[in-house]
Order: sequence, then C-alpha cells, then structure tokens
Amino acid sequence: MQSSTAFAAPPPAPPSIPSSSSTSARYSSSIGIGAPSSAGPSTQPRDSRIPSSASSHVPSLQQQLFKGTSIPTPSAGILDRSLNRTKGAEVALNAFAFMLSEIVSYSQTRSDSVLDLEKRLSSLGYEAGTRILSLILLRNTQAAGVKDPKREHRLIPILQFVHTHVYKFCFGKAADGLEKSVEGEDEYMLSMNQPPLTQHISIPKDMSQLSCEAFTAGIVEGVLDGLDVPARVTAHTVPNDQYPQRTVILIKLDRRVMDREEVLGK
Amino acid sequence: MSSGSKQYKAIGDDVWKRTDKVNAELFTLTYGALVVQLIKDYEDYGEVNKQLEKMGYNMGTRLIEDFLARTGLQRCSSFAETAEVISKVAFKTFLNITPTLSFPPASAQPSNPSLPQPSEFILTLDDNPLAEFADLPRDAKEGGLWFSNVLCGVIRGALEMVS
Repeated sequence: MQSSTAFAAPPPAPPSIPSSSSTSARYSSSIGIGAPSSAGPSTQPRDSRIPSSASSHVPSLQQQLFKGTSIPTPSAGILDRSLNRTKGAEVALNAFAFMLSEIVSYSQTRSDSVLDLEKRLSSLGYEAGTRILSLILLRNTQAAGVKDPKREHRLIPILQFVHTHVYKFCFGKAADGLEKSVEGEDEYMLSMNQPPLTQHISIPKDMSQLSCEAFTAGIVEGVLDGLDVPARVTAHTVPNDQYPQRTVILIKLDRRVMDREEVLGK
Repeated sequence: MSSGSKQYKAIGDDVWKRTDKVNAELFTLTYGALVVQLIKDYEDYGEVNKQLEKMGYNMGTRLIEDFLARTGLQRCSSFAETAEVISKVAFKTFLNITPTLSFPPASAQPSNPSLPQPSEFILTLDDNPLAEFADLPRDAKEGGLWFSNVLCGVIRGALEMVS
C-alpha cells in the first residue's frame, strides 16, 4: 500500500520541514494495525522495526490514519493525517481575492512606504513559499517512489521546477515565460501574462511603483531559498499591448549560487 | 424545511461550479502566514483575535455584495433560513465546504422575547480550509488564539450589510 507521510506547518513556528517526513515512508508496512494505543504523543516512531508491542505508547502512523483504531488527540492529529487529503482541494478565487485585499490593506497600515509594503507582502509569500516547497517535494517523493526521491540541485532545473511545478501548484498553470536577462549573468525572469491572484487589484496612481505580485515574488523566493538558491526576488508590472497586467518576477541570484554553478559546470 | 435546505444545497453546488477557483492549499498557507505576521506584529493573542475579526468584518461587508450578485437570492424570511443560506450556500460558494448547522436548545438561550425564535445557531466546520495545515503550539492555545476568527468577522460583516 502507499505509505503515508506527514506534513505540518505550525504557523507561529519558524518554517521547518518535519524531520520525520523524509523518512516516514519507511514505516509503512511493518507495524501492525489495530494494536490499542493510548493518546498519541506527537512524536513518531523513528525505527521502522519497532515491534507492535512497543507501539503501545507510540501509536504508528497507520493506527492514527485509520480512524477507529485510535482517536488521535487534536494536537497529535495533524502530523498523522494523509498528505494527500487536501490535494486538489479548491476554494473560490474571490475568497482568496478578499483575503489578499485585506492583507494588502493591513500591510499598508503597517508600512510607511511602497517599498516597505512590498517587503511585507513578500515576507508573507516567503512563509507560504517555504511550505509550498516542502509540500510539493513530499508529494513528488511519494509519487516517484521511496527508492528514487528526486530533488534538483542545478540552477536551470530548479528554475524550471519553479516555472512549472510551483506555478502550477499555486495558479493552476505554468508561468508564461522563463527568460535569462540580457543585462546580468545572474538574473532570470519569470513572466505571467495574467496573474490570477492580483487581477482584481488596481493600483492607485500615486503608488504606481507598487506591484502586489510581490506576494508571488515572496513565494518564489521562499521556494528558491528552500532549494538552497538564495536570491533576491522582486516583482514588476511590465504591461504590453495585449496584457495590461503582465507581471515579471525578477530573480537576482546570490553570488554564491553563481560560484557553485561554475564549479558544478566543470 | 428539508425541501428548502435541499434547494439551498443545489444553489450552492450550482454557484460553486461557476466560480473561478484557486488552490486551497495556497489559500491555507497564505492565511497561516498572515496569522503569523499578526502575531509578530501584536505579540498578544487577544489583539490578534480582534484584528482578525476586524479584517473578517471588512471582507464580509464587501463579500456580501459579491455573494448576492452571484446567487440572486432574496431576503431571508426567518433567522433559521438565514442559517441555512450561510451554511449551504455561502460557505459552499466561497470555501467549498458545508458546515453542519445546529440550533442550541431553547432553554440555553437568554430569554429575550423581542427576538424571534430561534435567535442563535451554531455552525460546526468539519473541514476547515483555513486551518488545514495548522497546529497551534501550546502557548498559542493557552494564550487563547482563535485561529479562524476571521470567519466570525466575515459573517458578522456580511449579515450586518443585509441587516
């Protein structure tokens, strides 16, 4: 049977990939189902070969997943839920739009300049981005099989991963373009002709510098940082005739990344 | 009542099919990030609750317009009907969930003869898309953070607009 992995993003905690997640697939089949268990502590068994008698105080993932064998306490529940429970779930775009508008207006009251506002939006995106990355990677690992987990380490595949997978996850479709800047070796651009999240936002004239896609830029930055590609990511509205809301996410890579790429490229 | 509730369910499903959608997990994680940001800014869970409620209220006052335009529903004749609409149509069209609706027993209500019965209802969310990946640390629980307080604000704001 498919193994189950756990994922959690406890909001007030610093972003982290649960340490159990990368290995949890190993505890798939050896622990028996149905052994009675006490209320679940939030730790999970580290060793897949724990005999089922030992799991009386450490409920296995399966015991917690299959309802009826044990009732997880609310605090333990989240780590033990199926990873794919909410896969493909959707909410209305307008619900998101309302929330984003509140986020923007709240951030605006808390910041004194356009730059500051963008920074706040981007830091929110960053928080979401790091979690999106771990969610996508975990699911990919699960889909590809435990034996062959895959994680990109070269720059171009990573950028393509963002362009395709991350955008598809967030917006339902891949970004419209991924280009290398002509100005700098270390600059790349992701473009989206009609960014879905901010399509209902119109920027007042006196804040024309502002692009609320800074939030998306934050997501990209979070994902890149998680893949150890530190970069400064900014969003710019670059309208063309066909698409007035066309947005370009500019990725300026850290010097460190370029050095590493050079070494790896040899 | 049951035929009415079925009808609302159908309306909810129908409107849901026609709306543009966005990934629920992105929504969840964004909301989580927002709450973290609020906690950092206020450093007090009570204040965070208040702020979340306020943001919800702001959303609700605007959201109701969108809601009425999409559904074309008429004014509700009774409070019980309002409850049905919120549960079956509103939550369905915006968050694709249908909270369970229950009315507290009449004895539990403060006896206010000027209010038509029932004057309270409880929505129980079986699935909460806001808190899908959220696990509150102990101090937040003990500190009294109401993670999904924004929903309360949304409902209050929306209902206030249609009085």
